[in-house]
Amino acid sequence: MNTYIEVNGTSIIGWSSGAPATENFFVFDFTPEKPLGAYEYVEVTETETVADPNDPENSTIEIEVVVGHTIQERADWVAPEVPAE
Amino acid sequence: MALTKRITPVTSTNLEKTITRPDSVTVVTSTGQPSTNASWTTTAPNVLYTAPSTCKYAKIYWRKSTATAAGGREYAASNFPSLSTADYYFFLEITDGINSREIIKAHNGAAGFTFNNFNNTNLEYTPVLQENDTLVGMESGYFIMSGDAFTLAPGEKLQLGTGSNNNSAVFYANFQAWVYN
Repeated sequence: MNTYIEVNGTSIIGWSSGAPATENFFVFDFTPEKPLGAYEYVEVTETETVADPNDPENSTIEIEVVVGHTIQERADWVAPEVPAE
Repeated sequence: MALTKRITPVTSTNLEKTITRPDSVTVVTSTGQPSTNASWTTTAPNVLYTAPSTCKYAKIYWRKSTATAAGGREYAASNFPSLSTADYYFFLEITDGINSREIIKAHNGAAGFTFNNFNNTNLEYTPVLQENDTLVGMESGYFIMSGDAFTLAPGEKLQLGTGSNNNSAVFYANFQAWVYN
């Protein structure tokens, strides 16, 4: 079954399975095990070597390109305290 | 004339209760705060769910939990807190884009509202709840809201409004949408 998320910047503000909850949701393989605030939606980049367009000697330069996105736990996330029942 | 006892036979037909099960179920978990979401304003509520345009109707089942929503866990009851600052509150409504029917509205300075938070103090409400009925916690009391209140027509949206664009309260909404085609 597909899972879906909604993001706002790097924040994940919605998650659904079965169908997208709204038109802002998109397919992303992710199932939260913690509150959504514990995660961030970040770009995955790779370094590619390409021809330097400003160099007539055909030298190359390295550039960062975005190849996708991933969800990872925020380094500064602290589990909320659960009030006593 | 002698009277004869007559017993109307009970057939299986009138013993059976009709069971209507949803054709699909969408699990929804949502969180956020208006103050950090520029597109969420007092005039543009945050849409939590849109019923498919092809369905007959969709019923919202708010997750029942013994865990307090304040913990913000996906399996916990839903929590829509208010803060003491003026207009820092939430309200829920269902809209077709033209007409909106208000479901529940809090105000600032109180605790907001929770749905189906079955902690130790309100477990006694459990036996009287029907299917999609919702136990609402508000202020220090509780009341039951009929499941009909959370039934959406095709294409209708369940959306969360705020009294202020700067409202920094964090909501947690955990529910299933039962969709009938």
